[in-house]
Amino acid sequence: MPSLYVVDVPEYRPLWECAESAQGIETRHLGAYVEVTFEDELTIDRRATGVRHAVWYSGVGGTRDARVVQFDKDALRLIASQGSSRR
Amino acid sequence: MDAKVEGGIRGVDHVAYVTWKVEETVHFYRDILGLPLAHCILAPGWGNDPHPDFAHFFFDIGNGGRIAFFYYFGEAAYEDEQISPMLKKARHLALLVDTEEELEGYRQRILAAGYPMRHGGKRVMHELIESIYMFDPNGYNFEITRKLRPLGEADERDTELSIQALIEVTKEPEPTMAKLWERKGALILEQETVGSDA
Repeated sequence: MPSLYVVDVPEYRPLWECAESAQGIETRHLGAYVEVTFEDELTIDRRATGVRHAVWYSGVGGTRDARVVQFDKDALRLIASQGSSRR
Repeated sequence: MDAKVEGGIRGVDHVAYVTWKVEETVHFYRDILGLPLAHCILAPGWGNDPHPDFAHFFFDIGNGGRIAFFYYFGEAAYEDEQISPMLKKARHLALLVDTEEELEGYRQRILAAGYPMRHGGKRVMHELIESIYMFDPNGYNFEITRKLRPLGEADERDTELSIQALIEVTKEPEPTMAKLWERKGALILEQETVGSDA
């Protein structure tokens, strides 16, 4: 499944908390990270997270079968990348 | 955070820059920031090597550390115009304070003295630090920072995986952030354990 990894520290908690409220999104703890899996698209609204700019832009810990198509002051948006393995 | 690392290194003794603005530099560091002058070496050249006469002076930055400047007699002021603005902004020295009040105190002193500060003179909150940024009278990028929280196990683990992925990606042609994120994601999936906390 396409996934976003966010490091499990307090500053980034609002990212996955905002993400998991959306339909089709699942999260699980994976060592030092939270894995956010999605079907086709994941959008996290920066203002909804309340995360300040200097933290926001370092919020992506890693990706899996996903491509970041927007990462600006408004939102982080990922889409499933072509050939992603639907496990 | 260890007081010493393996081998014995335990901090910065000094960092050194070149200046052609002695008065402005002393004013900024001693009078505005309040860093005591700690030492000054006046030397005609440097042994037998062809070398200009120079003054080498140091300001105390606390905890045994110092920031130092060279002034070279007879050397024309030099600025490498080939250095991109990005590199000029990236190279910097960050000095450490303990409290928000101390950080704010330096911000107020610098603003009151009329020195232009970066980011509109605002304090910038990062994940682990809060900082103020400016260029000193020589144009050197300069930061004062305070720590917001200590590094935890998750931060350390994330650092290990970031660097492993960065090394791997930068060994390949055309490294990009997207490739780094994807490589790091694969490392996380391979190496991290489901359900465990950091």
